Amino acid sequence: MRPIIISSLVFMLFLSGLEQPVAGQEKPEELLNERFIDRPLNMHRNQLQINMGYGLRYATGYYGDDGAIMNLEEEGKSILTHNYLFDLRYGLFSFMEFSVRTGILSKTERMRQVIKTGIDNMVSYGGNTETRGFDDLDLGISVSLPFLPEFTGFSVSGGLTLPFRGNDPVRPEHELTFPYQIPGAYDIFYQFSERPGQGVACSSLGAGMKLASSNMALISRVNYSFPIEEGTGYIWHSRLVGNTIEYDNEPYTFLPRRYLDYHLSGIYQVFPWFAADITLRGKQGNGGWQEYTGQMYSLPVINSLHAGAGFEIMVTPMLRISQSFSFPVKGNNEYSGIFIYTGMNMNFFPF
Amino acid sequence: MKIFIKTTKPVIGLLPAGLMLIFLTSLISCVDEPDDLIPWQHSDEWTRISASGGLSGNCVYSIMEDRSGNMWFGTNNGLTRLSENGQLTRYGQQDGLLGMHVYAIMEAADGTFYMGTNRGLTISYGETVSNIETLLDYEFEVLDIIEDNRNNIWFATDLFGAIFISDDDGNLYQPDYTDCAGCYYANSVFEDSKNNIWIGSMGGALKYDYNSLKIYSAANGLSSDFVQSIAEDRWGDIWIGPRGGKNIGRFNGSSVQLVTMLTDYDTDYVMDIMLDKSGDLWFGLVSAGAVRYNGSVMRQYAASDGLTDPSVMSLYTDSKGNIWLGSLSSGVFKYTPGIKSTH
Repeated sequence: MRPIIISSLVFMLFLSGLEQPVAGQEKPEELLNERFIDRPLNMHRNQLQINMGYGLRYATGYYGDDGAIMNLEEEGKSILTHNYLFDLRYGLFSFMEFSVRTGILSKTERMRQVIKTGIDNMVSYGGNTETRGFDDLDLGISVSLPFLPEFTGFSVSGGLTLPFRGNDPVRPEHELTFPYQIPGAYDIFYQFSERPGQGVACSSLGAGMKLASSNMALISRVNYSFPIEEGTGYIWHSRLVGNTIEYDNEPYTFLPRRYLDYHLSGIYQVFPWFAADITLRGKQGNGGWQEYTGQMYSLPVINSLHAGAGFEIMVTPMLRISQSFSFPVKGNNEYSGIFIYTGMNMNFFPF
Repeated sequence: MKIFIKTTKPVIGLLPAGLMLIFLTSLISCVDEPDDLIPWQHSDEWTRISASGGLSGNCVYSIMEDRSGNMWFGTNNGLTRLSENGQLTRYGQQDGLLGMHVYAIMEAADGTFYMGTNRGLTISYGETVSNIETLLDYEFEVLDIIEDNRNNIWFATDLFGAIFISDDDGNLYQPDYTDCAGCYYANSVFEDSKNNIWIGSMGGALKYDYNSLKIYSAANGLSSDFVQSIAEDRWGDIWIGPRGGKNIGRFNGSSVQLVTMLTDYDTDYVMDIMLDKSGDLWFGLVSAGAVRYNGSVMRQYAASDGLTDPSVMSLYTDSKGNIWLGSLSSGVFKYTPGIKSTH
């Protein structure tokens, strides 16, 4: 481990040497007035940006293994997700940014009530799976390449994703009612609760690139994340005994997938205070496994590609608001749905 | 690109240095993935093997996986082995099998194969095959076989009830059925997690702990005295499948609760009960297919799912989690359940 510590310190010393000499000496208010397409990929030195946003995702379908889409409504399902994002970015140096990011997730997967009748009995069942709570905590460092012309930008990044908790869904709370005048007939409403996030620590590597002209810019980013440990989760079992439901859990192990996320945005600066963009955003996930009934299964490969559009308005030099909308183009083993995001960010030079 | 720089030279902060260290350390602690992962099963799959496809017979009484991963099927026309490469091999009386109706198959811990037939018991160890046709000069059928935790081999017979060969001395023993005439006809034998031996008989469900025999019958709340099948769920309750009764009995150690079958067709024969690897119970029924019970809701499998024979004689879950269903007249069905991802 010691060579790693030494090499890391040497690396940090090397980075600090990259701090560019005094140049420009621009004032903070001028930097905060930068148009969207003029901003560097990373924060300016000593710039603090606080991002907050809300995203709404409504899934209408599911892409199967072969890419064919399945209508969730026909399957008696609906999935609605609310994301509340918190993101803090700070420019440590002119070339290095540190970021902390997390969010609160509220996802509800509904299963329509189904009535099953037999010769002597009748049972109906349906339910919800709720995923609520803090998402994983992302810590990141992004380093931009120095000495590039002003119309370009290139950065590399690394990060750690830390789970707030393990992958341990809380005990279900199923509801049981007896609305029928038939002995032994009942309604059962399954209420499962799960935790957001991967459940284990992950690392990531990424890169960003920007090309800008007087009124337009192309920005692309790619990020590769991978788990650095195996996790343990719990499967809950339940059973009906008389008029009560009893619960028991069983541990299982898993390793999340490796993910490659990428996006490409074309931005047009309509006014100095207004920029519009179109974006292609993709995700690929492979690897990983999950233990199931004593066997270890490889997780299915997932793919998704979304297209979208959005805009940003600079309300004041400190305050910017943004809005975006995206829809699915294709996918495999992934939900398909629309995503609407509204965000705002505040910018300061605190020190 | 516009850069804002303070005139003082910055020093390295501890925070980024620490983060960089953590990050670099994490890179070398990546976890490897095992090479022998099983491909993900996206959705339910049904396949069938019948006599026209190489199975010995279309009525499948018994199913077993041996320690080498081969599947064995006891049929109404001999025995069939399905090897891992998909090859089917038939065995009959020419191979030493005593009767052609193979009701039970079991591989003991020492590698001995026991096959219960309509004409007695066939025992095979390596190349050696021996048969037990009569006991006390009476011909008998062997309907079920298990090996208990004492390595005693138990047989459910139609004439002597459940009997066992002791691992200690190799002799044959029989619990005391003196007060129970129906107990001499045993359909099934099962060992629970507390090492009690349960016997499904014409006299009820019998619980034997090598000291005493307890009888649970209609008088104790079962829907019939004639018990066909017995299994234990993951909670430790004993499920008792009747022959000639509509409801399955769930015995929690002190009392019996009757659970009504949720099926589209009438049935009163629960031929087999099995606990699968996910913790669900399966019931093989005559005329009503198979029912899977997750603890609160029953789900019936029938022709629309791929189970084209309405009568299920035997159930088995193999080491890979596949469910095998032996039918009355259509061979054996293999059901591979789809998996719901939690990630």
